[in-house]
Amino acid sequence: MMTDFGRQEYARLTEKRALFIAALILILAALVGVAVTLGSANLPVADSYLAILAGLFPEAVDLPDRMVESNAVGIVWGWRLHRVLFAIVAGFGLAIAGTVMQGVLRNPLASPFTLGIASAASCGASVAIILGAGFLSGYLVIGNAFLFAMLAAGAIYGMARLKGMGSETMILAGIALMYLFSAVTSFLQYLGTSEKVQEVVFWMFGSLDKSSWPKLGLVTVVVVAVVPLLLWRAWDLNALAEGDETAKSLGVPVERSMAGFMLAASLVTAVIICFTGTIGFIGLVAPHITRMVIGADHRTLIPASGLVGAVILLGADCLARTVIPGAIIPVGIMTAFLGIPFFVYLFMRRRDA
Amino acid sequence: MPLLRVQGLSFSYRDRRVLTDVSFSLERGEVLGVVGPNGSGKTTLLRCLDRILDPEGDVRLDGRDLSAMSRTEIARTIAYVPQSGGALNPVTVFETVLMGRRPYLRWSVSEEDKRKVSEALSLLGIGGFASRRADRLSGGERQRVLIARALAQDARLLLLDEPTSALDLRNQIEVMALLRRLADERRLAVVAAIHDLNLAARYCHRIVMLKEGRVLGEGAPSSLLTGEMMRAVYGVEAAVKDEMGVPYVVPLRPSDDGVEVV
Amino acid sequence: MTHKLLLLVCCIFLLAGTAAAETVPCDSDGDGTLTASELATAILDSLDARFMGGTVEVPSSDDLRDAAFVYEHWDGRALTITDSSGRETTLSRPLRKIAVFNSDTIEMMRSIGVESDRVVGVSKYTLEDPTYFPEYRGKANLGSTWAPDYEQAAAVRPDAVFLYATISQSSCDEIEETLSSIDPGIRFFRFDSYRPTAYADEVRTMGALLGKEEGAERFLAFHGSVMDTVAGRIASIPADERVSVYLENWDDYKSAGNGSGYDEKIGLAGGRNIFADTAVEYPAVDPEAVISRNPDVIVKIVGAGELVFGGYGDDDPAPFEEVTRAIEDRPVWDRIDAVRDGRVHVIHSDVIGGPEYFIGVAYMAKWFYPDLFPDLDPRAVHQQYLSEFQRLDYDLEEHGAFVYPV
Repeated sequence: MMTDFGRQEYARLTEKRALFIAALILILAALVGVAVTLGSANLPVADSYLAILAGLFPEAVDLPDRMVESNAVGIVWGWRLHRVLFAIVAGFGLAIAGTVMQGVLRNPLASPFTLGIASAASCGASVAIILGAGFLSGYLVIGNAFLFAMLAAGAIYGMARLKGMGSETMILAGIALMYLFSAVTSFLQYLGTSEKVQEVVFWMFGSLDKSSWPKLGLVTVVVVAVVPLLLWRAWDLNALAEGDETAKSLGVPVERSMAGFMLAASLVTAVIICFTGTIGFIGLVAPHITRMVIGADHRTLIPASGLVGAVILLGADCLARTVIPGAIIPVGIMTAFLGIPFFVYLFMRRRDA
Repeated sequence: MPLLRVQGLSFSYRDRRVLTDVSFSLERGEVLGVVGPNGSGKTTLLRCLDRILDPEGDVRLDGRDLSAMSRTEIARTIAYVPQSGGALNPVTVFETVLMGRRPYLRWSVSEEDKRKVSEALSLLGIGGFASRRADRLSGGERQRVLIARALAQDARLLLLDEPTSALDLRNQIEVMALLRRLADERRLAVVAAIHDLNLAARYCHRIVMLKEGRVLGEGAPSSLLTGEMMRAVYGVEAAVKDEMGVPYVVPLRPSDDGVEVV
Repeated sequence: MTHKLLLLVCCIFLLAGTAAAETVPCDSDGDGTLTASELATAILDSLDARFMGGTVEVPSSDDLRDAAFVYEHWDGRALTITDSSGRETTLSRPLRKIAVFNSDTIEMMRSIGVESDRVVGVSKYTLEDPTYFPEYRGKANLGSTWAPDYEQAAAVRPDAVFLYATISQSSCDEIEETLSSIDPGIRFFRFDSYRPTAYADEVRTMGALLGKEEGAERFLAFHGSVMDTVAGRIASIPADERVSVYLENWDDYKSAGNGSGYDEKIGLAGGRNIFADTAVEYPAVDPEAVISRNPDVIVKIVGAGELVFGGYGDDDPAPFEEVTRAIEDRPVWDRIDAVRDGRVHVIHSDVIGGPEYFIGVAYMAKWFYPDLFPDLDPRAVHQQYLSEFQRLDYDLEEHGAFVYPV
């Protein structure tokens, strides 16, 4: 029938996407179940789950003595649980930021850090650590990292709106910012003592160690507020992928859209990395994997990427906590190690195609 | 009332004048070919008509001033098919054509949207590869997908930028014949920037000849395609033949009376 | 949400009966002072219940032990101490299980006689130095201040955590915040244990906190004998007659500027740092500037960076000599007074940084003014520190390389 061409396949594609998302949610739930049992305190597996229940329904649960002695409830609720949830939200946020960036810049190598945000945040953190100067007293590093990151994002947003920038120009501007902030960071490191420099380096590795319930709450609020906005405008992202002119001819206000998307992605990225330091590869790798499986319709690509990012980050964190007994590798290093084989794989695939 | 009426359209990129005082009109069911040497402003003209660029002058669609219409309204009325040089997005053909429905789409895709896509695919004869990846198509297939997308937009005016440049001989003829058929059968108005004069002569109702941003001539191919026009517009000595009622231009050699060739 | 959870956790503890009491133990009349008779009563009641089958409600042996401590060391009253960050904490029980993130603090604790069994966790740097901290080998690994292992820190159930006061403050703040949310009963104390100006106060505070007042005084007498002697004798030297000093750390041409620790220690030894006017804490200096400022003495620090040798684990003095030659061979540096007069000295960071800084000051004072300190034997001071106060079986005659020339 003339009106049926491709519709069955499209329906199947839609189904496949829904299934993929459902599968990811299940994998994530299983991963959470594993992650809360991991840790150098070596709590028995049952204790970890019991501790979760005890925290939720304190009157209903009768704790065995060994759990009181080991302070299992304190460890799980005061340390493990919010860290696991933070890994999920951070992985989700970085992945969707990467997806949006790749869509806006029409470049599959883009990441949340392409426009210089990571360098800006590192610079802010360096200023706080080495000079002890900052905007938010008591939260110098966090405040600076966030502010500097948003400064970079704002600079590009301003340039994009005032001058009207295409994607190549945005990338160039981002590279310029990256070099600028890196230079300032290097200069600060030159000035600082070796302990402070080491602290900066540690910060730049990226780690989930600094998570806490209030921080988790803050990041979750931002991510939960931004994601619906992105989904609402997902069709515009789809249109942008077809080219600026095509997008315009389809009714998309291209410059405004690009700038808005970029700002949203930067905000999510900034609010995450100000707490975690620069965790790389999630924003680059998660959208790629997802796109390979379910294609590039951003209505499903964005949430699916987010879930893939959450799985990757939580998985990386589990590995980082267990691979060397007694030591916790910063999770940013682990994601880098995971990213490299992925790139090799991509590269190999390309050669065959 | 003509569907499209352009009067005194001018456009400059920064300080450089690209189009000066372009005027013409177009009726429903007409195919208008825009011809001229490279850099004469063909692409810019199309972009101005679709409000991708913002020109000076008066452009009216069915009597309505284009600058007063919202982006979405324009998108529902005018469809633009860009030059198909670059690779397409790695999405399925169905989804690429579905993008044409963007001016109508809510968040989820309605039955009508899907129906229009299917129709467009079938009209272009590419119903069979709805699930193929758009970035793995040949030149001819790609061009059809882009035209299908424009059709899915349910527009009354189709703008095409060099739809035949990247195609082999057979595809060139097929695409132009299709455009002519769409105009005739569905009363669409088509403006196509065309490189190949003979294709334009064969399939367009009227042509507009541009040189350095100005309209040097407008009218039926048989009246415009003359030796003097070839010299004036292209700086070329040519013989114009008649092939079954349609003019046929055979370029001979460059003119040597100092006419600039761009 | 956080507060509710913390409250829940606290309730669980109360239910399980391990509440951290805020009152002085065995203080039966609750007036905040444990008198001799209250303590005696508690002991007798406990004996009665144990051996005589008495049924009076008795304090636990933990309570008795803590009460005895409070009576003996704190005059029967709760102790309020101020740590090096200015925070005041009131304790009604002694600290029994301490997690110490700061290696320097472990050393200071050892100086005043604190036994290792009161420490339940140490930093990875302490564990990576078994030569110097042999008795801490089996303790839980807390990681470092920048990368702490919270689960280990929580698993050892400490009642107190010692952190740095003036460096890595944001990291220390985070450790406090996270550990508090795991176990709200933990107390936190900030001690640097390496800064000369705070040194004596910190020793005393620790002595009071840990019930080692006598050990603290004995150690301070020792420390003072060195520092006061030096200070006293150099006081008479007018400023323009002070020995000028160029100090270089393990990186070539990295010196110490205004406000740095090394600059302070040069001053304590009576020297004048030729780069004291530089605002940057650790400036990279121009070799020509050193030549033009012509110092009387050059002090080179080794032990880190590319010059990792010497210290407690290394007995070989040869690299020290090589370093000296290398400095003397620097182009045009033979014009410098210090090189001409053979007054180039090398010292290991272990004895000039950290809690042993006063040994380094002693060495420097002797180098700067050998005539003023004929009776000062820094090596003997070092040996006494190791044998008497650090309780280490370490003979400086046989082992270790710390200075050149010896």
